[in-house]
Amino acid sequence: MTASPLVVVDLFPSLLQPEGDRGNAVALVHRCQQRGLSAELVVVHPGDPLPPADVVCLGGSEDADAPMCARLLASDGALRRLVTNGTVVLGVGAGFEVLGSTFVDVAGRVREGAGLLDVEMSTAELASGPVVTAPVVGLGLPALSGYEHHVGRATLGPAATPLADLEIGVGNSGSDQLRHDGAVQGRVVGTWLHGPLLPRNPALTDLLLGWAAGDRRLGPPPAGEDALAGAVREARIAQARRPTG
Amino acid sequence: MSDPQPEPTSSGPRGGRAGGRSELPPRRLPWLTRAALALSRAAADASRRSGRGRGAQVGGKLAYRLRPGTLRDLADGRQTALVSATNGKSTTATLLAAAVRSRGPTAFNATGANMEEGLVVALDADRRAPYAVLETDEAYLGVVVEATRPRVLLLMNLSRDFLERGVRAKQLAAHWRETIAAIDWPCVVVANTDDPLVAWSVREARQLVWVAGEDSWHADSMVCRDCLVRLDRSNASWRCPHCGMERETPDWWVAPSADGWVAHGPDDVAVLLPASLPGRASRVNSLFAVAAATAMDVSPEAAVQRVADVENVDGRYAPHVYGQHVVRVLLAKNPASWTESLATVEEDRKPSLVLAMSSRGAGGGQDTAMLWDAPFERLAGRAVTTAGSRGDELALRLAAAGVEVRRGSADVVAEIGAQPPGAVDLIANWPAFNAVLDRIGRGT
Repeated sequence: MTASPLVVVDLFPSLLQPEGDRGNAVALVHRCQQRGLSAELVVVHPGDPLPPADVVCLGGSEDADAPMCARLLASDGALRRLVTNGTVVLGVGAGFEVLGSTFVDVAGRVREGAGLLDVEMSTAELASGPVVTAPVVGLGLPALSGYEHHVGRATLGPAATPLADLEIGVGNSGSDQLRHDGAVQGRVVGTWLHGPLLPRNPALTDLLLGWAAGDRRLGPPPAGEDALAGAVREARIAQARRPTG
Repeated sequence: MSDPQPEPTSSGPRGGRAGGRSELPPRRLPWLTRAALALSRAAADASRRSGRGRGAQVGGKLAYRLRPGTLRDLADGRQTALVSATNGKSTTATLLAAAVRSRGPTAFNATGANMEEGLVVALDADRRAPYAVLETDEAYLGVVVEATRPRVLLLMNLSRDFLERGVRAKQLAAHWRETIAAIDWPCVVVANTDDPLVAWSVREARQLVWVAGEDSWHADSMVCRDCLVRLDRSNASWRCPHCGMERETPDWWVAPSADGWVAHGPDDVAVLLPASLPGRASRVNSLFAVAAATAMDVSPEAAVQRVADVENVDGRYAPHVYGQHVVRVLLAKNPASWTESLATVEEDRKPSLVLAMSSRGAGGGQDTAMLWDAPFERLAGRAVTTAGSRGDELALRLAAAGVEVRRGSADVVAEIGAQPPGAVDLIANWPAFNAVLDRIGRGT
């Protein structure tokens, strides 16, 4: 029997100005196909019903429409039900912010988030530039490469853990004592890393696909393209480590 | 056209009604402005002599810092048209300037320096030109409109740019809307009816001319700005199902004919558009230029005649002969312009295609995420060479799009030279575009 295709939802790309984060959804579908599992990319706009999905991607940069986005995420409980049933959620930038318990809108008011991550957001100076994380030992990931551009800062509650320690970048706080990026809570992942994140970091793509695939079989990772992605990742990490970036 | 001409206010557009004047009368600028301009010219000369730039930025910046009213002083007495958009503003402003020159000498910021300082340099260089056409950075529209009090304001499109630039299409639309609401002199706003963000931003304009801009990039205007509900789109039209805001019937549009593309306008105007620049976007840019020129009292016939003379915009479009290659260079700064450039190279295929992305200075390239918003899938099945210091990011994107990629080096010109002799299309981001033209020449 043919396995059902893996469904990847690109959620509200018209609302939070995702600026390239669509690449995460594209990478998931492409990677699935490379590994022998059919996959389908579904774009969901405000007003569209949220279909049953294996992975939901929500990207974005800080935006006046974030409160509306958070309301839509929480309004009918559809996303929370998917998460309860095992759907993987990846929130990037403003997508990370609205998945938290609270976030700060562009007018400086504290707003209620979707509550899928035990994270409270605040704001500080703009953080913009390349990011290199430390290897994520707990998740079996090498150092991640990305690009951050945000004023938000994240304070994690006890139910969430950081996605990664930071080697270069501001991430959740910018504090020397708390150099972390992002949050993980079950299968919900939030991060500040644009780039987009997944094409440049196929090990993380594979981790999310492994969570989402369930008992569907994923073939071995393709060698050639991994070499290309690896070369890009290593080049960006090397450039970020140079004093001029 | 949506509204009648408003009653003249006490402070009208600079220059009043068009009269086909050959020169502004000699006039004396305030002493502080003169001093600021003298210093700025010296700084610009030094910058040019040192080979660090074309002088438009450094000179104008100094003048603007010394005397913030310099732009206002220099614009005074002229009939000015401003051209703004995320994409196409350099090309369209070049076409419009060519058309307006049929009325008389016209100051124009041909270098593409499009913030206040660049506009100061352009107007200072052509002190007695009675007309001005100024390409204007979309984020600086407010201050430039306030200083120059334009007679015509041409607004074409708004879409996402590269992330590190830090400007967002929706915020720009709000900025344009505030700018237009503050205009209290007769000013014709020529706007793209096919871009919902632009259409939303010009709602309070008192005199509007709508142009069918055939917007091919919808990703930043999927929802109504007022209602945040998805727009209904069908048959190249759009409408908000909640508030009813919709595409206005255009005053200007293009349609095919046996002889080529024809621009149709008010009062049964029908003029054949020149095919001197390639691609759909250039056709639309020509239409915008003719519509805006007509609002500047240029006849449509004279406008297309002048537009036809433009074959090169600061190195773009015109074929550059380089060794055994004839290179057409297209600029792609953001997903919408990548989309248009990809359509252009597919519409008129050349044997070789090089895509280049580099990172250098303020022109972007540190953040390459926007590559993932552009439809590289259109090139599936075609062999493409990537080049530039961020060519590896392009290769990764193309591989995911099913394109056969040959990974070239960081040296874009060398990769052009490595193609089989003949015609080559090059699409490049801003740093790569400038680096290539600095070596093979701008052809202007």
